[in-house]
Amino acid sequence: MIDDIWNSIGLDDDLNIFGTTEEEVNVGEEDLLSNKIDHLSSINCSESINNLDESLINDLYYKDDSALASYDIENSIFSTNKFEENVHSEVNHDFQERHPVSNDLLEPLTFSPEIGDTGVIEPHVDYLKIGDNELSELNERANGIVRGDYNTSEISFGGKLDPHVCQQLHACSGHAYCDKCYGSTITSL
Amino acid sequence: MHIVISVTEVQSHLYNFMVDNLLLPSQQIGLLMTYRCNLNCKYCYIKYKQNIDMSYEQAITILQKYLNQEGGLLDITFYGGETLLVFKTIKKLIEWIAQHKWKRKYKFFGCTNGTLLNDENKVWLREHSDIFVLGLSYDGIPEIQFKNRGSQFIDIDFFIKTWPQQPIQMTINADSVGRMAEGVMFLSSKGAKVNPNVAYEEYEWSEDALKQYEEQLSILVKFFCNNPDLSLIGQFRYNLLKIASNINNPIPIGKSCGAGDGFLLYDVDGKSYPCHLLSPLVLNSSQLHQLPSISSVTNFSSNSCIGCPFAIACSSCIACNYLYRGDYVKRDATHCKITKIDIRASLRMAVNQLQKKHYLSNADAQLVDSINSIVSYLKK
Repeated sequence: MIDDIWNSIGLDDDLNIFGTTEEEVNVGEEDLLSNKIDHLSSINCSESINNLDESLINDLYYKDDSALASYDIENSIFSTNKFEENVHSEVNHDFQERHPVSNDLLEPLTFSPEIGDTGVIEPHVDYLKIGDNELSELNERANGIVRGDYNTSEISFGGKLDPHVCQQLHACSGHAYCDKCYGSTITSL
Repeated sequence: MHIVISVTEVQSHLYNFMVDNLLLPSQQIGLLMTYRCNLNCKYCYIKYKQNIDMSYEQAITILQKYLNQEGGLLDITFYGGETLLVFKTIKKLIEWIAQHKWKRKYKFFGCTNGTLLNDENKVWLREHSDIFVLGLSYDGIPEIQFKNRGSQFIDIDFFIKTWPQQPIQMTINADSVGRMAEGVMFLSSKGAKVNPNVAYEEYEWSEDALKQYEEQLSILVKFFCNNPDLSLIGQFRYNLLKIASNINNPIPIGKSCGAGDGFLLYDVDGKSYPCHLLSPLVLNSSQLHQLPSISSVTNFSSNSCIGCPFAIACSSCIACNYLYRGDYVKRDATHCKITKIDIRASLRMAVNQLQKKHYLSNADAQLVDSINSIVSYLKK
């Protein structure tokens, strides 16, 4: 069933969606440390950083990341099996062999599509397109179901913002306790 | 059995019920706690970082006034700069507020880059997590976080465990959009709710970046369909019924935030501004002096938005419009295009979810009607 759905979406094996630059792929741990130091010396906020305690800086930038270290790779979506199952089920196997999925979080999910890779270099596919057949099927299934009163006032914003809009704003960081955008209830929507 | 409840208790229960159910209008204010930040993120809009903080006394003076007024929830947001750079002041402030009785409920919120977390402030934050929510801003996978912000090793799990309902803010820009899906999947797999938001920037996205955004959403449609227990990102939560109803009966576009008619941001010196983007943090004194009145604007749509059914769901930051284009109502083209892509992704997600259902309910049938209506509109 699920395969049918995905086939109907038109998702193909256009792996360049995960493509990245060669430079990114080859960054190793030593390079990352070096990059961090370079970055610290180059960014404009160096003055602010200099004001901080040195031990704090060391703690911030050079400590081991316990959160990442404890990250359960085997059972995560980034494990090869689950990742292939969840995202790349339609990938052709030749391509996978030549471009294996990395389990290293420092080199996450990198692919380097090459010209000539079957199914990789393709014109843009409209992945989100909804086919007429899909709509026909849904219409058929919905046929005969009595709809409730379609009172537009009930489905209007009712003086409150669509949470989606609110959360897209810098002013709102998506307060966990707010699903009505309290601060915006006064606006004209 | 008789239960004796005092009048005060009844009043208290009634008040809590009214606040919790939004029967009493809440009020949102912001305190600009610091002009300092220890990072320099690629997409940051803050222009004037300075070594200035709000004093504890100033914050108390501002908050006392509001807390002594009867009303709904007082929603207090700390702005900056980096919130944890003034952790000591915030700690002292919240502890003092919590020790006293006030005429209304209150809640504190702040956003952080998480780099300054340590064992000591983690303990305090955990203990006060019911009144102070600290939202993490983290840009997806560690590699992108490092590229965008120069930091990488954040205790993401602390935020997820302490405030499980608080989404992680994941800012997307044109450079990082190609790794958006990875970021959402990475954070979601840790158990986090995620808000992947497209940054409001001065420059418009290229067509290639927009194409990548669409591709990333297609990956995420598949990911969330395969993992239905995960909390959906906002890109898949558009209210399609509202949009469909707006096709034939478009409503005027209002302002999508409280700036200028309710919300106030207090600067370190106690002066108030419509929002943090329209404050000395971002604008210079000349720009602030010339700032047009927001309340005088009645229509917040660009000419190109008139009649667009998606405009009600299209986010636009009036402050960024002013900052980058000199006019509150001059929207950026990028978010217009992003909204249309989002809606197509929401349609895709809704179709997939409906197809999986064995039986369609009354509400499902309405949704099918809405999908038909929007798809027909898009085909035109």
